[in-house]
Amino acid sequence: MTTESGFEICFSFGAVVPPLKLIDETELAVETKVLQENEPGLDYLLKIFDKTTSDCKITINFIADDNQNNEIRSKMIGLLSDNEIDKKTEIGTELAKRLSKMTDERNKYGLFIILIGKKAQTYRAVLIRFKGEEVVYKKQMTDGFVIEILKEAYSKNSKHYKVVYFEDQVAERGNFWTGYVLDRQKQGKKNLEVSEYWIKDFLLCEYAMTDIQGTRKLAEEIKQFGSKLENVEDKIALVEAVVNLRNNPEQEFSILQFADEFLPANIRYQFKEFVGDDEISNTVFNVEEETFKHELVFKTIKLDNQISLSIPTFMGNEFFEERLLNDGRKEFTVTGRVINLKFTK
Amino acid sequence: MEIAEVIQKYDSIRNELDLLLPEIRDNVFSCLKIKKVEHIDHIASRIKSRDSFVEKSQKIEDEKTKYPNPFKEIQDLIGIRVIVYFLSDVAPVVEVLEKGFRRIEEKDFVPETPKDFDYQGKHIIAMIPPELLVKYCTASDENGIS
Repeated sequence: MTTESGFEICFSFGAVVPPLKLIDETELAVETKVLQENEPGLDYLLKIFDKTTSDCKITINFIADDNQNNEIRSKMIGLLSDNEIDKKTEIGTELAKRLSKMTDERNKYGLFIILIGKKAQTYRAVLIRFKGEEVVYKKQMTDGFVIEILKEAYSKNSKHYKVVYFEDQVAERGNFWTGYVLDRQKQGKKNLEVSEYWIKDFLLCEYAMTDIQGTRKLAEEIKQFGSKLENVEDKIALVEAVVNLRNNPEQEFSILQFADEFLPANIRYQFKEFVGDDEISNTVFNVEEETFKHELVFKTIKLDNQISLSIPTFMGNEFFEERLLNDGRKEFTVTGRVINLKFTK
Repeated sequence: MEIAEVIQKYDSIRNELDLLLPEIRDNVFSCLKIKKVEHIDHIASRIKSRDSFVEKSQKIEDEKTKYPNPFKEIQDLIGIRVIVYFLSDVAPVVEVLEKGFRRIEEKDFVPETPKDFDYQGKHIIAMIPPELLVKYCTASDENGIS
């Protein structure tokens, strides 16, 4: 079978994955089947396969052990190779059991799908986990199971599955280290356990950017965006967002999610347009406090009349004027709109 | 890969490597500075020379070519060396670099006996930060830089 984008599907596999996190290894049992061309719902799965390159924008990498191996990557390469269908089914079952072992009661039953496609010399491996049997499939007690995609899952904003794809040329030693994920189940920045169990525990992967790299990139975007802002209120809004994040660091999000979480509407869309909707701006990281404070510096000036000025130097010197007086003292002129006035006891 | 092909490909990506090197060095320097790591003598950097790369690409192991796809499999095209004064300073540097870069592999090089006066170091193979790959290696797939 061939997808609309021209990938020939060499292996398609499904498994009903129960949440068996606390179950003993020997008791792990998953129901599996190789999906045939007439499988109900397969068309929908192939559409997801084709859409992965545009939908999955968060970059992840397999974590290498000391010998530059990764257990899941090795299994994936086993699925891409010319192995017999029985061998591939065995690998698919191992992966399904592993996912089951990583899934706890909160994530409930799931349907795990593996699709392997080939187009010229390029291989693509797509792994999908659908949530909850009420949404995606109905179990048949006598003859395995039938995939049944219910209407709700077709909606554009469906939050019922997570998907990862890995794509590369023929499986050589240096290939298949990078993948791309989409998590339609992820809701809000605090829902870290989902990514933990899917990306780190199951796939043995990590986000491609380190926290330090992501934080530096975020800071750089803020600085460059700030330098282009002309409206004072917009500048103030950006500085407030920085102050807010400085006071609440160690949050996990992408650069685009930062905009959603911290920027008011008047600059949110400008910022998102400025950074673009690319691989880097979608990659998730944990804001690293020291790096953030180092990159986005506030200069504090204390005067001998007990007045302190805190100046966001990363926005340039436009917020105040400084003038040297004849007697050696300095005069600072600050112009702005009062947005908050407090008396401290 | 044939020598002529290796040379041609190396020359075609040399410009990208020249742009990448100072950025990666700056990343290393920044990490160490932000985390206030002390006792660093200096930070040196280099791009593997064409001759050295070609020689390595032709290496044979167990009667087979060790690097059939050398631009993906040879992982020291760019090297940054952080030189510290004392052995005890190595661990803090490694700790910081492993936070700043995605580590692929690490290896210790130690003299055979503690009395030997010889090279001692810790080598870390790390991934090029994705931001820099996107910025400079627009043709990285074709060039096979990983």
